[in-house]
Amino acid sequence: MRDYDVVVVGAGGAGLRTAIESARDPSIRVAVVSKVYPTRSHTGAAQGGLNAALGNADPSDSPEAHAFDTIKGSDFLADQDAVYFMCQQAPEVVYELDRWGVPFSRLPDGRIAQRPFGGASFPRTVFSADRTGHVLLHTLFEQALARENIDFFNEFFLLDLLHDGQRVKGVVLYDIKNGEVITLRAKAVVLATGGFARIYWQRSTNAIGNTGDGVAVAFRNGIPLKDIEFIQFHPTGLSKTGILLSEACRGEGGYLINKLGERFMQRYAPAKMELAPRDMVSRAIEYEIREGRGFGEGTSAYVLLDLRHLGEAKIKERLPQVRQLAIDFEGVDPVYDPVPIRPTAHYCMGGIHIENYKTSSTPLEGLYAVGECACVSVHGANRLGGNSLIELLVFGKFAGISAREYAKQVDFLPITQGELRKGEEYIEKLFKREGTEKLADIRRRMGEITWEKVGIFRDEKSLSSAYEELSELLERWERIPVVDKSRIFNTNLIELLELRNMLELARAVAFCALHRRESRGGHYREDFPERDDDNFLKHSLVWQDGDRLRLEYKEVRITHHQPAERKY
Amino acid sequence: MVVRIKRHPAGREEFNVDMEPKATLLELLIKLKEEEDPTLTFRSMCRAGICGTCAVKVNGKPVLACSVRVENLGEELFIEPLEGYRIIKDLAVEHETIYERLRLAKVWLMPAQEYEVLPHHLERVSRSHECILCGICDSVCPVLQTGSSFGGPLVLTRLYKHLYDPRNIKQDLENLFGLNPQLCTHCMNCSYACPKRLMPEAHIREEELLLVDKGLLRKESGGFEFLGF
Repeated sequence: MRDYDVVVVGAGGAGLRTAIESARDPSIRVAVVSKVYPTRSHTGAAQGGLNAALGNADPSDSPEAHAFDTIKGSDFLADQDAVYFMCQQAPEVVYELDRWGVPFSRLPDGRIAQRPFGGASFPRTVFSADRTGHVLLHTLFEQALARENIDFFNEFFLLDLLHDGQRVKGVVLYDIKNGEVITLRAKAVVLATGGFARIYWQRSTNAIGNTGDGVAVAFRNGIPLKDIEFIQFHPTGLSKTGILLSEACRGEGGYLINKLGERFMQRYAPAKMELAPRDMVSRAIEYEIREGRGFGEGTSAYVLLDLRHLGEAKIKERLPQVRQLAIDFEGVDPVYDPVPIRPTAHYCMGGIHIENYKTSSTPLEGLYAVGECACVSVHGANRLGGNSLIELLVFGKFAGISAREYAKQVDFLPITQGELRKGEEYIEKLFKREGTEKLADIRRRMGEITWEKVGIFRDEKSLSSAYEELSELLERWERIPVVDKSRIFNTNLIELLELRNMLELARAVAFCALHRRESRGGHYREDFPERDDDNFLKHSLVWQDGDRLRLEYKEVRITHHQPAERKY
Repeated sequence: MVVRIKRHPAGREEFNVDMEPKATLLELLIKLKEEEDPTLTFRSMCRAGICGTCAVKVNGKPVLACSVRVENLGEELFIEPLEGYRIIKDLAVEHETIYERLRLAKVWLMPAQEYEVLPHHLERVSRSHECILCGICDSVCPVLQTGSSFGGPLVLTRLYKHLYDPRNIKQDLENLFGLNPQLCTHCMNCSYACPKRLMPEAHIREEELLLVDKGLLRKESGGFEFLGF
């Protein structure tokens, strides 16, 4: 067992930003845990940029305008005080990153350039070509590497949280490389393990590892999850693989075209056209496909993203990665041909319930959560493009401060022999498990259920059947054996652990979606197609009590803008 | 198609598999793990060529498994782990050394408080920001394999972006001197192998000239002595 003041689980943008802030005091010992290596985290896949009202491209922009756009984009489900806080802090964290070496694209006079993005009333998104997340992640990693009081635990998988019901006391980790279970005792723990959009296994833009491990572990330990029925489907996933093409494609002026050659967004958002928010554009594409105006059929149907009119030079300068992805994974060069795309599960608006947005604290004392695994909530029912990176930077910074200052005030809690053995015993039990179920079959079935029944269009029937079927899959999960008996780099075991996390979360998503009988943002119920502020202008909180799920609702904090119809 | 895989310490090595020609090598590996042998071990993460996790060798050539298509690899495949790193299991090799090299070489920027960055400052270093730390360049570097004091293409490419960044106040010239860019033989293996086409060798050449310019390294006239042979 080792002791750390602050243990950060997850080493993407959120985890690294938090760790850097916690480590500002050299007397504080910080551990950063990742099941991969920090630079392989999914933050690196973010392409388009991050939103901050710097006013460089248009001086009339302001943090207030950024906040309003975010709240409107959220379909009024975001907590408005938290949104204002984020938008006011946004410029400073961007300048911090600039000082640390992120190569932001510049205006000729050296100021940071900004581009238009979906749902934004001004060109506000700062960027580094179309590899913004990559350079941000690598810069944060190098800054964390420079700090002597940060230790990295690379390729360690989170098994469990230790706590006494009131306060967190540590984490239990599985060392992937040698099969040992270790415990890190901690005064404060920050979960920053990212989202779980891999529950849509076959149609997700996410990295293979985005299985919601931190969210599931928190959930099993009695911590409520908030608004998890809100899943964002990104309009422009590549048709074959679901690999993401950045929102920058639309930001830079790309067209969406149906089989008749129409820019069909004219029908759905005549003012904003392709730059309407993601939920609206995704639904529009699916309507077009459903009405027979898409190409192909069934799961392989698609519409076209046309960038050709931007010209070769602009595509190469502003969208080099998009071009390469389209060539490598779809076999199409956007300079010469339109690219087949289809909406794809992309982002989880919901996550671990945050009680205080200024500290990112959860209901368990000493436990914090940041980034996509957390729900502050600033995204409400639909996140605007460019708001995830800014969220993890702002709230990572303040969670880092909070965890650090909390750790200074408290002592370590004792950990019992039983707690030390529990993780090891669990792993042993898995190795001894017998059964004939196949991991890959259950995982694939999970992906089919979520896509068909908890997807872009939902109703009572689809959701209740998804809930039942996912519960069955969870039972079948108990009968999947670990085929690989090795203790060295056992990815078969890791996939089994990840699948449990995904199934538990997928079932909870279906449960919350079933009970939200309205349509709002990313959650669209065909049987309740209207937003219902009288009954559902509230956050859903779900608990896992043993095998049962329990739901409660919580008020949305409306401090500035009364809910209005959301038109673009 | 026939797929042979070098296993460590042991395991089934030959597979017959039908793949759609457009499928990637990573999809092939996933299919084998799902349908044939769940003990087959390899790493993967983003599936899109940006995280640098899934480098392996196929038919002798180092590649990112997610970014090459099966149809371009021939009817028979031989897949093996990257060279130059300790094999942990099957295709998974020890990557900790990549990160340890970065730590030892202090590859990070020390922020200035006041600075001006113009577009041309960033143009020069733009490509070196695109390194994904896949480790392929180091795996094909003959100088590194001899255990010399050469910093290697990975570290030198990563350091390059800080050498010319107006925001960096760290004295990276001395740092660079310790990494001995002059030991590069300019064989170009790294530049040919880099899956992001970053030309590490060109960066190393510039770094070597920078040291000469600053008087930290003496360039021998016409001879090859300074190359370290």
